[in-house]
Amino acid sequence: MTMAARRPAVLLELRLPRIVDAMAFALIDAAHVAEGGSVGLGAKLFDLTIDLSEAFAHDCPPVSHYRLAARDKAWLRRLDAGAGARLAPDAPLALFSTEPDEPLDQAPARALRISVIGIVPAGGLF
Amino acid sequence: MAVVRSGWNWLVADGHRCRPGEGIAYCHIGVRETPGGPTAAFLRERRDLQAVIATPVGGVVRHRPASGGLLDRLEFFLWNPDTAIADIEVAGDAQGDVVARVSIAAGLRIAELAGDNTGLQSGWHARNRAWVDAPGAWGTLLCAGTCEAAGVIKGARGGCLELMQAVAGPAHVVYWDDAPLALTARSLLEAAERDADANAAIGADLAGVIGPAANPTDWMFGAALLTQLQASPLSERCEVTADGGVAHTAAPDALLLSIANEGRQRLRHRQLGYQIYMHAFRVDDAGPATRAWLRDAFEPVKVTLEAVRDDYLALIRQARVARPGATILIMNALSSDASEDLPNFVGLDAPLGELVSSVGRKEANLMLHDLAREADIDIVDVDLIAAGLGARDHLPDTVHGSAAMHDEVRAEVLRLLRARSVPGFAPSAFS
Repeated sequence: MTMAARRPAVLLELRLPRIVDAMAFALIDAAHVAEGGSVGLGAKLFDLTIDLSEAFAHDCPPVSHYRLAARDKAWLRRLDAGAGARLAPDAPLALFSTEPDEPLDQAPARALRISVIGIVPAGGLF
Repeated sequence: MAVVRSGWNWLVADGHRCRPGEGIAYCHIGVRETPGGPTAAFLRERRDLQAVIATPVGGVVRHRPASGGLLDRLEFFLWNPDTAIADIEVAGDAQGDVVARVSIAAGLRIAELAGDNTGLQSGWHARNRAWVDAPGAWGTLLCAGTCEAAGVIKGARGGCLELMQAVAGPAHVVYWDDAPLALTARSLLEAAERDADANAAIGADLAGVIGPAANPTDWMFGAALLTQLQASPLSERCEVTADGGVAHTAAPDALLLSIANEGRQRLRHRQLGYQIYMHAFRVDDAGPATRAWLRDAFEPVKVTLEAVRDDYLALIRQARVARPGATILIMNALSSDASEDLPNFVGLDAPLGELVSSVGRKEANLMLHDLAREADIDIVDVDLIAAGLGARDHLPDTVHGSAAMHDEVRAEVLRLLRARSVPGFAPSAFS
């Protein structure tokens, strides 16, 4: 007799992590994924900018740029924020599922595992 | 010549227990041909020239009465070395007079209107300097400004108090600010090579842009930009008070640079050829005409680490032509990122150094090690110091450090200067 172990399909949520203690907001620079698409390990999800001068006046604003990348294989089912969105920590970014057709009428089982990567911004001065 | 001064401004409260060598007061000073006559020296810094008074003994400071008001900001009094400034209550029965140690701080305003004489080196300056006189050969440290170095050089309260306290002198420290332009190795070189005609061409080009703008923001930004572009920190020779008179310093004995100033994308003027680099947020501070000019009159230039290395080598050669054996210190960068959570590099586009900022900083630091071997320079190991103190608390955004961080980096800068026997920077009796 053989048995095939199969993980149950679940929903995975992605919320904006508090990357820096003092951050009040993050600006989404780019969403690299589209609803219905699959993401693999290491897939880039979002690029974002954190400007700490949002929280306190600063002559030399500490501006940092980050990328969120996937550490789970999943399907993007719902995109909650796109480029230009200005979000507070813990705001929903996206909802994923471990199977492409998993019903969305259930609570997320856990958070999507991600990497947070400090990046060099792609744009120039303008 | 005559030295005139304002009333005393206290840097410490009445009753403060001071350490030997600590700066306790300052006054505004002027160097005049006669007590009521015209300015005889420090013409461009005459409105932000200040004398800092340090006590040679530790104890409890008791203020002598101050004049207050504008008398403490304007030079109404003749400098008299016999003036009693404060009383210092010391342990035991010791009594008598002690001679204060005096250092001088000078600020070069962006424009004469950009003044604020309410504090020690307060106001908007393109350049700050400080020096302390003593017998012996002068040493000058020139720093191309950056946020990592500002607290190290200018100190927590301005006036380079900590540095002046730490060195025996005669020592002279020059700090050029990084607003709006960051002073890259290339920009320092280009400025040293530009002649009056080239500077005039830059001015005429900029005037054609901001002149018609009739916008205060454009004009203010343009004034700061032009002040920086038409100055040459490397070839400048400065006045200092020395041996009861005024002397001029020689070429810098040491340079303090930062890899953080070497941005990966510069702007090159399409017609005039000069290159500039500024932090992106500075562009937001420019007026609309200036922003349009930066966008249209310049082209972006991608800067590789090899190009930065070549610029450094050229700058080092130039500095050592002017001052053979000049000491070159370069601050490296924090190579890790406490906010990063990156278990592997799967899925990241190559080259990693151009995408992942911590990898880029590691590569820059490695380049500095190659440069140190090749050109006999010293690395100020900011990376190691931040790691030792705890980067999350002391260098949270990789750039802006705590007072403890600045103190440690300053101590390392001084250690390196002393190891190279840069004159004037030997330890003081108070360090």
